[in-house]
Amino acid sequence: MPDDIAEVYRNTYPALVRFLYRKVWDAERAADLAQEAFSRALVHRPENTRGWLFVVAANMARDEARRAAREKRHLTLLKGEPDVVSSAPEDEIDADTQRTRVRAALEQLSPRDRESLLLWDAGMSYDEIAAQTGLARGAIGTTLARARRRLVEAYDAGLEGGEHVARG
Amino acid sequence: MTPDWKEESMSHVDEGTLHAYLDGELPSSERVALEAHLAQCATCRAGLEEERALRARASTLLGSVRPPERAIPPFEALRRAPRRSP
Repeated sequence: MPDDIAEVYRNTYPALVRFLYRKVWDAERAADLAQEAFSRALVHRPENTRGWLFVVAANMARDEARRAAREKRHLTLLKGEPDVVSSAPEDEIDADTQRTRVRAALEQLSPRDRESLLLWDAGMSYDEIAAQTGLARGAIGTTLARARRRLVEAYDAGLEGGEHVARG
Repeated sequence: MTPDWKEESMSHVDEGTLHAYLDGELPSSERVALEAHLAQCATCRAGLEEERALRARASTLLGSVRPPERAIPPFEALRRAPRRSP
């Protein structure tokens, strides 16, 4: 029997938004996509709603990233120049800088390592991550260990690089 | 296959097993064997602490890039949510 979607919604919505946010890096879009994934679940009534939602969300985020890349290319062509950085309050700059650094570090991970880490952070168990990624359950610990190490190393390397640039 | 560290006192626990242990995802029989090994292997105890710190650091980094907290929209709103083209 399919899961009770209303209950899955209450328990999973924040984790799904967080998962999507680390993929599209826009809180509004992440919330919209999560809503869309749940709306589709209402139509499809999958057996394992939680797992299904994360698969659908990952696919939507991938499509979103492709569309955004196309639009950015198009805009750059129209304007003929790169975007000018707009001014922002200090606290927003800090949050933006941190997001940029963590995002850059996450992008250093292999897609499978990154996916496993984001799924774990969204509250998925090793069994669920294995089902989602196609990895053997016994390989999840090693995958997460590598993902965590690379994330931290890439983040620290980014900080060092930033300091060198700042020092001129 | 039995991991080496269960049978040979000179072998050390791999980092994947340590992360599974820290994540609370190691099957109970392996967890008991691991804890017995840790009790007598200072190298693996040090390794465990190193991995624990790494795990916490990665978690903090990810936690620093969360979307703003907001109330969960009512479930009933889903049926009214704008449909995007497929």
